[in-house]
Amino acid sequence: MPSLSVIRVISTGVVFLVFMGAAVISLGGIASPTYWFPAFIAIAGVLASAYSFGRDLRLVRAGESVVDGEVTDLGASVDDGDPQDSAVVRRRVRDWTLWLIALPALSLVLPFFYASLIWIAAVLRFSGKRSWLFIAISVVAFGVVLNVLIVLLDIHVPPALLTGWG
Amino acid sequence: MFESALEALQMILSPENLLWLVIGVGIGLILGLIPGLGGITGMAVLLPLIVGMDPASGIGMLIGLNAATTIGDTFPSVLMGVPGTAASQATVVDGYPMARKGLANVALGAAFTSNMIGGIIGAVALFLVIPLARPIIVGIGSPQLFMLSLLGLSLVIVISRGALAPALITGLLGMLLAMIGSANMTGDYRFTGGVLYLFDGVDLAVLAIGLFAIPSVLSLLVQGEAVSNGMSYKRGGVLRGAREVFRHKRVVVGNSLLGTALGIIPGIGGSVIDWIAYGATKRTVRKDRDNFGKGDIRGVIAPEAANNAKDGGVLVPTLMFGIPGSATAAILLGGLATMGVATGPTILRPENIYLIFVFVWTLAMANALGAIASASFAGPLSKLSLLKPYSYAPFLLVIMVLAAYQSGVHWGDIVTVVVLALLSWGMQAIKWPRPPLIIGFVLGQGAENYLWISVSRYDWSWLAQPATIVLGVLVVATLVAGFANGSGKLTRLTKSILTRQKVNDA
Repeated sequence: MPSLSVIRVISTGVVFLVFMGAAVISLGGIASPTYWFPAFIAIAGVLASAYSFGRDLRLVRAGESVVDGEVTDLGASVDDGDPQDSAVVRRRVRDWTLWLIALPALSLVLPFFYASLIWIAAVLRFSGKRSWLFIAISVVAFGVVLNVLIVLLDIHVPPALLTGWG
Repeated sequence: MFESALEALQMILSPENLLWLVIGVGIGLILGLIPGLGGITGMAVLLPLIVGMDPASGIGMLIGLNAATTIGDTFPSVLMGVPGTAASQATVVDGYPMARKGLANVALGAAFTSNMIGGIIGAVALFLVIPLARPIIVGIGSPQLFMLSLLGLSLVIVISRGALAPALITGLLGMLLAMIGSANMTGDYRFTGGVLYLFDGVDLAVLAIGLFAIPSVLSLLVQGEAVSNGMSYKRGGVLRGAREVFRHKRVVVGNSLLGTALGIIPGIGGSVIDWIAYGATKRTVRKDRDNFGKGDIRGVIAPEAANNAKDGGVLVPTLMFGIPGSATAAILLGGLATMGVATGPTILRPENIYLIFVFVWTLAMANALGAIASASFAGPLSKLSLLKPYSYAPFLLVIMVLAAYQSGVHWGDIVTVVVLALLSWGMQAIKWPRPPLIIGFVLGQGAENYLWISVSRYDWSWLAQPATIVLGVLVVATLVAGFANGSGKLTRLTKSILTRQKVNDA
């Protein structure tokens, strides 16, 4: 598994390519005002990402970390709290990435309302190791609250795209 | 004038109107509590209900809902690090670290007091500014709006800690994201790759949920631990927070006035005003500036005061010119038309002046009611930070995905929010700051439009306008100071000069 510093260097390289692609498209259509501002942004992005790529690469090759400094960010982070075993954190990150993808994947087959209840039950049981009683009470209570919100606030619920249910 | 004010107060205090105001405030608080559902959702739902309603009741309900949403959204921002609405993002930066230190109730107390003071100052400003608003609004043209957008973008540098290049990259990425879809000035589509969903561009709500809300909840689930192990102040924490606001009078009053002023300018929404207030406060305070981002109470007070104060400012162009200053103001305008309330210059006629007072009183009362109600729930609700994330986080994820779907009612919204959330989680891991991305996204599109209008209308002569030059100097000064501070060059330079002087003296 590559270190986060290496991943950052690769990500910066990818972003550089994105800006470069946007710059090529924008400069190709520069005759139209549609691409004036995007061209300015893309060129600035190419310069900033090229500088950042070079700087990070130099530090990584010198054996220094580029992800240890402080940045202004918001919300919870996996690094908050007591330090945990990095292997455990990586496994949990992978699990939760899959859980997040599983919710829309399940909603492709079942109407979102039912898919979400099944998903919550599965998460609480297999990831949270909660008792079946806790799961039953939570899922029923959440189902009622969600249904009330959907009806009262006229919330649109996504249909199951593959089966057409919902 | 005094009689009109009393007449309006009497109307608002009638039991029926008061009841609708309380209902609006109640719905607003609940909507603010649920991440992803903002005032726009509530306003859109309430709109059909106000048909045929007495104007004072309808105004009470709509304004009450709008004001209370920006109060209720503080709960998830502080307790879970999840912005309740796009307008409470900056509050998370210091509010959530405070909750982690066991100071959730103190942060909430400070936030609600700032909300109330900000809202009341905004309401008073609405009353005072209306007669003077015409020259202000007429004086601000597209060149000034463009420069103001650049000033907002320069805050990316001010709020950043650490290396500046990643902040610049994410800010520019946000601007590039805003360019996806139809170009306003020509109607041509760009960067869509032929994908139909992208023709309308990326929605702000989808971006905000994907960028901040979902990754924060995922991180809580990965940690598996409560946000905080215990409360530093089991009793009196909320009052302590309220007292802190009065200790920082300049921060609360200054940001309330800043929020009102920015609210008057159409197009600058709450999602940017909170960042501008945060950045400006961080830039101007002299003491312990480095504490920002680590749980500094001033970082909670500033955006919360500005956010509620802006509601008064937004009403100035909405009522006076019929120009909605924000998306919620546009729905409000529709609601007022439904109730037969005339907006535009006619509202300044003597027979209509009481309506302005109805807005002023309603805004002040809604903010006071919302803040007091929230403060009374702050104690018990702050205990949410002591719960293990499995008790609430999976449910929140479902609501967030559903909330994202509401923006375009398209399956693409769900795919986009999940992809953005995973990318954003990755950005957080590799220490790429994410706030600049949303600032770039919101201000990028406006900047392009204003630049286009300025060039079309004035060619390049607008660059020589005095107001443009003043704002341009401010932008350059902000950037230079930000770069110098960020790289530490200014400090090192000062130290080396002082050391050299001491050596010379010796």
